Amino acid sequence: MKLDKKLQSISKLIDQKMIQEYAILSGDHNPIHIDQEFAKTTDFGKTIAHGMLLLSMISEMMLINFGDNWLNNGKLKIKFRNPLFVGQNVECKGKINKVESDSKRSLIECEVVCNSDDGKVLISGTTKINIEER
Amino acid sequence: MYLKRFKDKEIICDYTIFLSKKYSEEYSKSCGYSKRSLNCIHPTELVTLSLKEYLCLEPIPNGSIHTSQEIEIFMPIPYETRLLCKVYLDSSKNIKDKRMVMIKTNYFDNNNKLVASSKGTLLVPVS
Repeated sequence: MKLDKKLQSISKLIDQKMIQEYAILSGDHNPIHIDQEFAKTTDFGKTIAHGMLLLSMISEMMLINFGDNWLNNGKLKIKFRNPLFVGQNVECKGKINKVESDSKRSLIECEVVCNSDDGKVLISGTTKINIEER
Repeated sequence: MYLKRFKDKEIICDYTIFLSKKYSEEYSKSCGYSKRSLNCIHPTELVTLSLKEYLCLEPIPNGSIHTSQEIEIFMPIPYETRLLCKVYLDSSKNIKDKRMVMIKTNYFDNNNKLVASSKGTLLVPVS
């Protein structure tokens, strides 16, 4: 694992169907996510995705890049910067910004970010994992 | 005012969650995952299921904004696991017309071992 190595990124379209399904799964039925008429009366004007739905993409990206190590001891610390409006694409990307290794393990820290297709930062933060040396 | 009846560091509630394989499949589907683990749950999945139970006990007011999230996994959490979730008011303060609350959850397995921890920050309207 090398410093500044870019992680394999992922992107997907977040549509209203996905938001509705996530609302049922999470029990978060806040109308700003699921009620388009209500959303029109707010500053946003449109329904927005749940923050935790976007954050799930970072977890998926970490699994793709680091396998089960991510699930075994992953840590994340992020801020939600901007809302994602329904019907927009999201791209999650990251890079390794710190590696501390000894004979037994490597501690890897990554800088991660999710951007919308209009260039806004939705999520930014760091993830950490410990990889045991074999 | 949201959670005003609790002091900082005080426990808000506790409950158990069951991380079934079926829930995990539904989570992967709703998040559009192309790859999923065969054995263990995602950190974000743990927090999502816990949130579902929490919202039944302490509904979050409409208009609230989720501003930050931390999650730490201390050991692998396999499917079909039952966990005890202890939820605390980590800190709170009023900022203009909003109340900022930081909610911490510790997750314990059957042996009372701490397996994960999470901390979410919400900006809640003051009404």
